[in-house]
Amino acid sequence: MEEGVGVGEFSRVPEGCIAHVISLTSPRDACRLSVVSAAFRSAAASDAVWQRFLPPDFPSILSRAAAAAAVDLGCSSKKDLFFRLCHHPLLLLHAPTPISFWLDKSSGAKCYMLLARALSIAWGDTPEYWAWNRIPDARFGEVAELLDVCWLEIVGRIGSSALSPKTAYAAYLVFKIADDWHGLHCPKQETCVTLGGVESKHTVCLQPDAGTQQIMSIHARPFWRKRTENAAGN
Amino acid sequence: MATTGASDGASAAKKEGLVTLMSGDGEIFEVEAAAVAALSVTIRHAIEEGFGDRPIPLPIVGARALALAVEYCRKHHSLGGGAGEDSAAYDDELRAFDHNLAKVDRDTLFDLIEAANYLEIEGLLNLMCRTVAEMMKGKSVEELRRTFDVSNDYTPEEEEEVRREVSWALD
Repeated sequence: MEEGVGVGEFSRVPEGCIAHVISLTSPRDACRLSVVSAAFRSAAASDAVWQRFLPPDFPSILSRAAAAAAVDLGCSSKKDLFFRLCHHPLLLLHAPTPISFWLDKSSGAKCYMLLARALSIAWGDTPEYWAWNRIPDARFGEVAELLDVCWLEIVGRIGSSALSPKTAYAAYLVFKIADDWHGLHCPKQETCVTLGGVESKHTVCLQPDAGTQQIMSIHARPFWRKRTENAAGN
Repeated sequence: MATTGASDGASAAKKEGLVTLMSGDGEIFEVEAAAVAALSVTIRHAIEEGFGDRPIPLPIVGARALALAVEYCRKHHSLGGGAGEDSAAYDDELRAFDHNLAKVDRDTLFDLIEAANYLEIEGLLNLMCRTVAEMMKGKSVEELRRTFDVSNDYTPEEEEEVRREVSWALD
């Protein structure tokens, strides 16, 4: 490499140091840096960078993958592995039901989705109120279909130690509106996220806008996983 | 190796527990061997290889960066026993010291990265790399080029292709 070309002030430090610096930014910053110059692109693609963006407990997460997965999932570099985990969630063995796991591509934070069967649904096993169906566009096949209830309550729990530290999280309820839906507009529903005894409530409405029939998500308030937070949340 | 010019320093270094370091620009530093050996892998190896009684040459480390690196080793050895920032010994005083050290000018910052990398002082390397990383976070491609004085060595076609690959990150 010619003196300073494509690296500016970094010309006097070894490429390993440039990679070290990039590994302390974020996946989004690393991708921006790869556009800065070809020299940066080379440093920003290195395994040293993307190893650091993978969760530190990634080997133990992978050991819980439901399908026997090779250590590198067939990827030739850590960068490929990272983006594979962003775009193709892994199903992890988790008592009592599996849990879907992927990485957020901007931050590398660990994300999870609970299967419908893992949720506590009030009256969920009473056939007059809820039906358990298989629909083709559901990620996990089986979904709970709300027929008619006077008390709608759905609770999901996840241990906060499974989340990435020092990261702002949000909780979503992913659902699809049936053709013959009724009664979702009134009264308004409430979401609640509890973490370590701190509760955050938010009023929402599950009623879709006119004409929307696609899969929707309801967003509860963001919450913050501190570095040392250890309490279980739900 | 140990020239007559440095021999005065070298004989003085025979004082118990001291080691002599020579910067790339020829300046002599007498420092407590325990402090630098605890923090710098390179110096620890040099002492183990018998450099203890003659100046250890550090060809790529300038005097200004070496002085700061030595100061870092002393402070972290005396206050934290050389432990990393995740340990309980990493207290407010060390935190404040690191915080101040990271405020050096940009030239010195890169000198210190080069020095810490060569001397294998992990904590100092992390501190300085993190400081530069913080300057990078959230900046656009154009801001990054300007901030670090980087010339764009892509052809327009190459740049277009790379931009397309990571378009999600450029918003």
